[in-house]
Amino acid sequence: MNDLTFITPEINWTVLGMPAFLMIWAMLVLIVDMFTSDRRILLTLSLIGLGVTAALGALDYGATISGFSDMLVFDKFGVLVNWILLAGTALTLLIAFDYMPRQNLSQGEFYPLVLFATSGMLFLVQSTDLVTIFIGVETLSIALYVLTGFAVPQFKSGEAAIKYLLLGGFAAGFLVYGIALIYGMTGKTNLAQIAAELSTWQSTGRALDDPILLAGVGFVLIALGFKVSMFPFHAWTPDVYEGAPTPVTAYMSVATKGAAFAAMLRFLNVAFPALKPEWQLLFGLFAAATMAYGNIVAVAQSNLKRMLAYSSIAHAGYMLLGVLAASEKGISAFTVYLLAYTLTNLGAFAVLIALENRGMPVFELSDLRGLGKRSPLLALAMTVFMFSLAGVPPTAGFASKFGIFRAAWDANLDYLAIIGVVTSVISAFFYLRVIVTMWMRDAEATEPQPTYATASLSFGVIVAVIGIIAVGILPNIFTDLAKALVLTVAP
Amino acid sequence: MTNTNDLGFTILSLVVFLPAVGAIILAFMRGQRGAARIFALGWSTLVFAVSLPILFNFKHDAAGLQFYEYFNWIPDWGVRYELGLDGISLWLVLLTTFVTPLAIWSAWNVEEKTNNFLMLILLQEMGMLGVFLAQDLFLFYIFWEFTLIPMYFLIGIWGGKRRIYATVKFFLYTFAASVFMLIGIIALGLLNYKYLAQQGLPTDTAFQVQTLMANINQFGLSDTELKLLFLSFFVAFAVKVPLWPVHTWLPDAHVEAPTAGSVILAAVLLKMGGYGMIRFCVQLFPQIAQEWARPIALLAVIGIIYGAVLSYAQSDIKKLVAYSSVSHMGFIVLGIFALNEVGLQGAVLQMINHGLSTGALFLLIGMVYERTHTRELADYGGLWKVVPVFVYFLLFATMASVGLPGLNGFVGEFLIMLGAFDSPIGWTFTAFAAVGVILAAVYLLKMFQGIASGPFSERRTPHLSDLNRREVAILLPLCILMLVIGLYSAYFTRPMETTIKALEAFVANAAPLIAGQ
Repeated sequence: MNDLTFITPEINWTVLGMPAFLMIWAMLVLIVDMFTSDRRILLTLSLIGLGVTAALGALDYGATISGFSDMLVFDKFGVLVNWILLAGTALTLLIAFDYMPRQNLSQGEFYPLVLFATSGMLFLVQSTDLVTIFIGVETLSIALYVLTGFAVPQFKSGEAAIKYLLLGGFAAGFLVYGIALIYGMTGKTNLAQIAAELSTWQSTGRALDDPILLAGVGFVLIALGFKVSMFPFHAWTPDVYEGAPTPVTAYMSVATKGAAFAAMLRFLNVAFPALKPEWQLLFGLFAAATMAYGNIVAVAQSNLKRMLAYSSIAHAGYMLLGVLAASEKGISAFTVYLLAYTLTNLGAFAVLIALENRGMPVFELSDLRGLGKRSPLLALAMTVFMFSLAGVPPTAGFASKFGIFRAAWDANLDYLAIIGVVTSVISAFFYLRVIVTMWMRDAEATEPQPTYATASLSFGVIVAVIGIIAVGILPNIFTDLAKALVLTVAP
Repeated sequence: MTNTNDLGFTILSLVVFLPAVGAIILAFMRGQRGAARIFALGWSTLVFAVSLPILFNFKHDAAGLQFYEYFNWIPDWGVRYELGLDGISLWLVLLTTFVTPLAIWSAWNVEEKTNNFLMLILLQEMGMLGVFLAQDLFLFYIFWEFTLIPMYFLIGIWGGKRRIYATVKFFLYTFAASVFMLIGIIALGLLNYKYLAQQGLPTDTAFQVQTLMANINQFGLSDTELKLLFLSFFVAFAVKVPLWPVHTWLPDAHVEAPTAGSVILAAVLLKMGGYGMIRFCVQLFPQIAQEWARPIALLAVIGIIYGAVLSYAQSDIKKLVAYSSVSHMGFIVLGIFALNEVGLQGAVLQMINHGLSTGALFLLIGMVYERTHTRELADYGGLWKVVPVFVYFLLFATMASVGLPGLNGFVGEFLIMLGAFDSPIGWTFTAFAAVGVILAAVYLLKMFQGIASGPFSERRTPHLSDLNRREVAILLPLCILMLVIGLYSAYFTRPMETTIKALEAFVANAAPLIAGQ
């Protein structure tokens, strides 16, 4: 193939199907929104769109098809991560359904915006080229900038949006610059071709630790590390999470993270297996710092949303272990972890949403006092979520942590596994504090705050709880699925 | 599910999960406090009844696991769902099913959120039974950590004044110790997985205890690595036992827990530590267990003396009994690391004895506290004249705890000291342990005298009435068993004889390996 001739790519609908369908469907929802103000129609339409997108993945599940000059791939790993993202999106919409009008945020654009962001994520997950990775990252980011500022009359929401936009812009700059440097050194943007190019370097005796190449890799990872809130690129996380409307925070904390991690996995394992010792060492330190920082700082938080923000930083550290293990075990453990974390974190935020009053966000830890008496079922669900985040059996949080630590240990990253369990103990401290407050401390004398456990939200919470227990008791359902997919990522 | 017993059904799974079924049924009995109580008592008695066939069908002369059942749970990880029982776990399982109904019956006066309370006790029972029966490290760990959750709520919601402090300390202390065991489990499982794959054997038993016992010497682990692995397990169990100096969660948890919680904690939960030491520390790392028997015995002896001295210094009765647990559990660790038949038998028997006698003491303290609302020893006195039936039972349980010949405690402590004397631990440590027996008499008799004799004060201990029929009925089975074990301990030691002999031989044969390496 001659690199200089322009080849009109053949459009392969199987490869592009999931993101493309969701994008078109989102536009459709946007149009429908002009004619109706009935939120139920928008929600139903959105959920149907997500379902059909998931079904598109199931049609050719198991196949590995590459398309668009190998810029996108349809493989088991991609489909599986996409399913988790779609499930997370569906849960987000369910828990946001009653929240948005309650906060006087009744604009219908919310649904298509979330779908746009998800579509970008699906695209990112399937990307096997630096250019498509960039497109994916930007597609999801632009929608998220808007969503972060969705509650714009509130000062904090606007502040969060600006902060996220500015820092996100910097991250995008890093990403492009990194891509440029890598292209400059290798002449390729395709991940597999970069790997091939590097192996010819190796065979001709050219040194791989070229500073420009390393800088390029580093810049791309900074951008992706920003998206997953990896230490030390996490600084935006608490402020943005606190300011954004709660369902958006919930959505960002799981979906963005999942998609960016999937891209990171492909980037490191497909393009740069040759530099594995280097990135394993450097990112090992980052992972350790992320786990330690997130968990230790979370201990000091009294604001629940900020606590969950720091906890999500910590969980990024755990997921990073799966990425770093760079093995079958690691990749399968990563997907299990992503699923468990998606269900758990969305559930936890759903409980916060059920407690949030209009105009006066109820997010201090003390606001949970006596919840066990006021609404025991909600408190019970929150208990399950907290135990799962802490990694206590028999929840999904434990099974997935077990898989992650096992993969890390197997990849000779034993020091990371040990740091992982030590920080898990620290995390148990603040997750337990939530449980203590709900069940063991009585409400203050003031009038109890009402709770808004509406039908759609309750449905979302119940799905999350059942999913957590199911993955916790029968992780084999999912590990079996995740087992077969891994080889397509690292050829 | 593959099942290997003669009964025709998977009895162990039934016993483990029956309590959980009861808890689920209780969830649907909201608002019916009386009915819920009767149901929980009936159901836990049913669990006890269902567990009895295990005793009657237990083959005394078979060394390996019995009633063995399994299915491939997470083949990808090498994890199997596996339950099995041998002479070591037999009595602990029965102790659990026996004590739980009594604990439930003792909680008749819990008025607040009764259903939740009863549900948690049943879930606790399930977790503890799972710990004693699991034969796969992953499954074991799940049950092991699960037991934290119900107890955490039992102490935190129904406990005393400092309940939140006590329960968080309890959870974090034991959780922190246990995660290192998780690392050990992961490391062992991966090593075994690789070894099995290398040998061309099926890898789905990588976490199985039996396979690990057989293979662990083939992994090519260095002495240091073996020691670290041993430690990762030992620390978790030492905290649970609790061994000095990691005992500090116990007095807080015991004092703040509601009576039923204290009873379960003392009678069964602590035994999980001793059981784990035998099942994992000794069985998987016999060489290290031998090498470190003396240092561990030293900790145990320090615990015996230290617990005894602190117990004597307490003015709070419940705290006094709690510290006596530290002292008594030290004996059990001493017996385990004697690593011979007599010592191990004594240790297992003493686990049962301590469960019965300390369980009874906590029940008695709970009963009198319900009436007087004080636990200060100084407030009591002269109860002999006022509530004689209570005092008879207190005397009986105290004497059993002291180790009066003819009652259960004597047999266990005697065997332990015999075993320790006869082992490399030697006579010096044994002599100090014997001092612990004398001290036990000192502090327990101080407690008994303080309560029973002296002048009675109506003002400080008002509203005293003697034990009612329900309370007598709770205590009577415990006391009968104490007497039976004291007079006829052979019935209880015989089922474990074969298992323990095999274990002793296993440990003894493991010794040359380390010398040869």
